[in-house]
Amino acid sequence: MSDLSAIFRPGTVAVIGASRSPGKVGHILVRNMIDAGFPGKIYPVNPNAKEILGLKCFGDVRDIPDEVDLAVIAIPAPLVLEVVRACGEKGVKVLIVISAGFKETGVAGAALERQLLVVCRKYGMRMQGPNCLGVINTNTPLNLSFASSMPKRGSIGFISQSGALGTAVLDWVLKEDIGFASFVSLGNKADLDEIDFIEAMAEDQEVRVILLYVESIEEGKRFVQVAREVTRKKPLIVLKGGTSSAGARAAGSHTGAMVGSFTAYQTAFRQSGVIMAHSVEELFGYAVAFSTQPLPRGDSVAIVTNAGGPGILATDMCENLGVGLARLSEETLRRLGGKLPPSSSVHNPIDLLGDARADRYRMAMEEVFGDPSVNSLLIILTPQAMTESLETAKIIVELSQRRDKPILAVFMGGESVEEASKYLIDKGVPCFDFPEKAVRALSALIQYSRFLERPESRPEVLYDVDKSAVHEIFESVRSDKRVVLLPHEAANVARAYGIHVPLVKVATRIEDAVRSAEEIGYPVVLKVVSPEILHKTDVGAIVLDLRSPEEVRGAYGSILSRVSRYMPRAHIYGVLVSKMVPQGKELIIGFSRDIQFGPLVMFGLGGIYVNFLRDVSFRLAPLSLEDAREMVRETKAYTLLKGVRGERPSDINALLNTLLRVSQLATDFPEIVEMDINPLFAYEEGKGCIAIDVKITLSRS
Amino acid sequence: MAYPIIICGTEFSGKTAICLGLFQKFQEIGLRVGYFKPIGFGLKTVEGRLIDPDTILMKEVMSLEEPLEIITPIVLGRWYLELLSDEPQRLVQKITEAYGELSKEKDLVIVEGPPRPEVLTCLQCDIPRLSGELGAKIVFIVKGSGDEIVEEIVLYKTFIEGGGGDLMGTIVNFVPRQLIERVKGIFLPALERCGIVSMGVVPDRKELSLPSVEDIVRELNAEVLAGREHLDRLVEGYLVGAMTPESALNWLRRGAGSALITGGDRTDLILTALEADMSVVVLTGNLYPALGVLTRAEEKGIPILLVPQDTYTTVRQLEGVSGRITSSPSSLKKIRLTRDIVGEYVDWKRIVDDYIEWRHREKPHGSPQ
Repeated sequence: MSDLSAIFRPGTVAVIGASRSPGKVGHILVRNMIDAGFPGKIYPVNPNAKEILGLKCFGDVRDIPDEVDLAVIAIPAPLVLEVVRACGEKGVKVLIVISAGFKETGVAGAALERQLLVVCRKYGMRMQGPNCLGVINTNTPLNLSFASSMPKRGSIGFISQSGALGTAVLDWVLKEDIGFASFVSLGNKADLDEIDFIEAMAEDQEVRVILLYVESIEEGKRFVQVAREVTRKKPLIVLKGGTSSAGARAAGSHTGAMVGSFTAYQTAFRQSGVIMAHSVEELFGYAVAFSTQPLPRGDSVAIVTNAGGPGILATDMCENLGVGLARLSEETLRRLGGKLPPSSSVHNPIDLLGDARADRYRMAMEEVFGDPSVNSLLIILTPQAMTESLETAKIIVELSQRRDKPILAVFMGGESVEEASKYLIDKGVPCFDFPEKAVRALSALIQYSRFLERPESRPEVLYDVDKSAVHEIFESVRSDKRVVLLPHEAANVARAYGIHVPLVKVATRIEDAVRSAEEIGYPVVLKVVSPEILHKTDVGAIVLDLRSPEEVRGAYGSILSRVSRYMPRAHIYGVLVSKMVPQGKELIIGFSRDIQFGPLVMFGLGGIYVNFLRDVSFRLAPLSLEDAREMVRETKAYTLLKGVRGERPSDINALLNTLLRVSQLATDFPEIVEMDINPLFAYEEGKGCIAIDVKITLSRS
Repeated sequence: MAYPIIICGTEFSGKTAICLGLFQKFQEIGLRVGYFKPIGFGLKTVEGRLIDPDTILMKEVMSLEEPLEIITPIVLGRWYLELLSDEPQRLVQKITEAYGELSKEKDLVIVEGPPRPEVLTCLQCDIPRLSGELGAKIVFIVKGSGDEIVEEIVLYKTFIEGGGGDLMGTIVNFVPRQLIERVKGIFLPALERCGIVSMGVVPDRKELSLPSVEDIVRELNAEVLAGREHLDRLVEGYLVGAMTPESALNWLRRGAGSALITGGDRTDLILTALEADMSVVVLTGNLYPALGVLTRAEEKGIPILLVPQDTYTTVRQLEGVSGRITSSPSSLKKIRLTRDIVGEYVDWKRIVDDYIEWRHREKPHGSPQ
């Protein structure tokens, strides 16, 4: 067990700030613990009381004549530091600080919070919160929260950055009759954060599915590392708040942490096997499906319905979410055809017609359940004159107890199906009111099952790279007090990492330019080198296809005169002479270092349309070869690269290689915050690719 | 009697910084050094008299004993011609008298020229004339890397020599590092052909020319909301923030070290800026930011300023701010840097050699004073 067992399964708990007055937090905590039937010892601490709810009260945590595993603190913020110190001296293992008035209140509160952390570190104590709503564990059982009634026992573990969302959800699951194993409110995450609790719940045998609500993940890299391991053991479903720009602003004001790029979160979740939910309802829909159903062994679903419309809607949704409709075997079709009324549809979705009673459902479900081409079942029921909803529900439960294939039910309607759907949920069959939700949950099951089937891929490491050459270039850029590399510097960095770039030289005199052109070989391109001129074409600072010394001289002069006319204040570092290369397919490869998750590598269609078409895919570095392959395949550009209308295919291997090299550059040099190769020309198979324009930005420190 | 050397040049060419550097260098080798700026330029008055801020600076930083009116006998305001036209003869006399006073007990006096060499030419009190009156040679400073500065130097050589002055050499200041080779390879030979001696090509040092956050606070009269201990950070540029944080991150990173100017309600953008190594965030329109932002700024050590004016006005105000060496402790590094730069890139020994020769001429027996 990890060191957080003291939070979920403490032997002794001190409630500091315990109170005799009902309605006060310190009172509710003690009462909830008693009501929950906590099997260990509860020690209320309050210097002004002798007894609280029949328990002997202590004036100081240090006076408790017993070891204290867990202390929960609910006293005003200014008094917390002293108490935390006392807990440290007492040898308390873990603290839960409920008290508010810390980082969320501003600079002074943040300083106080840091002091708490210093004291905790000194005594080797861990701390949940401050400003949190506590913890619940239905197995211990333990209820150190404000929630007056505990949810029933179950296998869902729920970690929430928002305490209020947590309590609202706890109230809601009572109504929905969803069982929980444990609930944790993160609060300000001064010490313990979502990653620590994910690790703890991964170890907890009672938790089968971990749910997480977060607004920001500060230690993105650690999250990915932990999530990668955890998701191999059990599903981790995340609802991320602050995904819209207005939402991000609100979350930022709320927590004072940068929310970060949603693309990075999506990529990180996907690469680490995390299932992403988009609403609270979806989060729990998934949770129920994952906690009750086996994983499907393939993509294809059989839909059994007593109404055409809902069946069609479910089918549409399946196609949109990449869930395949099972092609039933000839034998299944023949048998179904023999037993169903003539006007029903035996082809998936199987329409039993409106007059289907429970026995017709049983027959059809048995048939498709036994068909090896079916990996999962979606049973749709609408209340019609002959419908036997409860009877049908019982048959579904019976079938689901074979636990061979996941079964999800959709019972549409209100009162007439209420009893049946309650029965389903109670017996561990997810039951939804509309087909869309069920298909989403099914798609999440399939997505997770695919993830588990995929072998873990190792990042590729290349050895033919010249690190010291790159270091040298960076040092020279730094000594010039710049962060943006000039074109030739960036090209040389790329070259040092084995990325093909045209030959380049910088000239500060006209005759140097001519000499460089002769060395490189005609035809050449001339462009101005200036940190201020980003769009060279716009000011005529680039001239292509120069074939003689005279043309080079002419271009050199005209570039300088145009620049001094259009950008008179730009610093001109010289003129870049580079080899003119033939046109290829224009692609983009680059990365931007995400603040939370590290280098986010991008691949896509390049050139001037990149900002408009957004045909790009992302992965976090370091990339494996499989990651690189997937990145290329995910884009629409892939179709073009395979060759259209009799074209020869492009050199995809060269592209993969370039992606891996960019990934390694990103991994080897944390000081690169951004790199862009745009365009990257891709040539025919076997002819490679070449980075035409490379941009690199460094961090300042 | 002291040996005078005139340091003059074009506007904003870094005359004061070179004077500061030379002053320290000459002191280092044991000379008794004076500083004289005969024609100052001031916009502020103290006790009814115009004051040149450089004069105050030099007096404080170099602990000069002489009163301000001796160090700078003439201070011009924005309109000055009518004030002086009735007594042109007195000007030169006033300068030579002050110089006579100042140069007592000194070995060498650094004479800093007015903003431009031609100032007071119409009153026959220009730099070439003073060069003759004081018997001082002239070091001429220009800044930059444009080809036109060669022409400028040649033009001013003609001007100086035509007015009876004596040009010792020139210094090309604030040259972008990448263009040093071009300046040395092309400019210097061109100057030599015109009989002009180079006394140094000085690379651009941003630490000297860039304003600090403190300079910005002063210019905008801003309220400091966070990061008060980090006002010495240099501001390398200005960015105006109005985009989504996702697209802002790369854009801010390319401008690392700049000031971000945005509204206090743009929490997402401000938080992004704090991660992208901005040197300061200026919030306009008196929009107070979210508390979490200030907490984060304190953690990151990045100042946050609040100003009442709108973003456009703020940017316009900031455009004119440049780094100033002041007598505040935060400028100490800059002052030492001027000495190091002069030591490394300026041919200060040529001045010392000339001084030694002059001393032999003035006092052939070489008796120490």
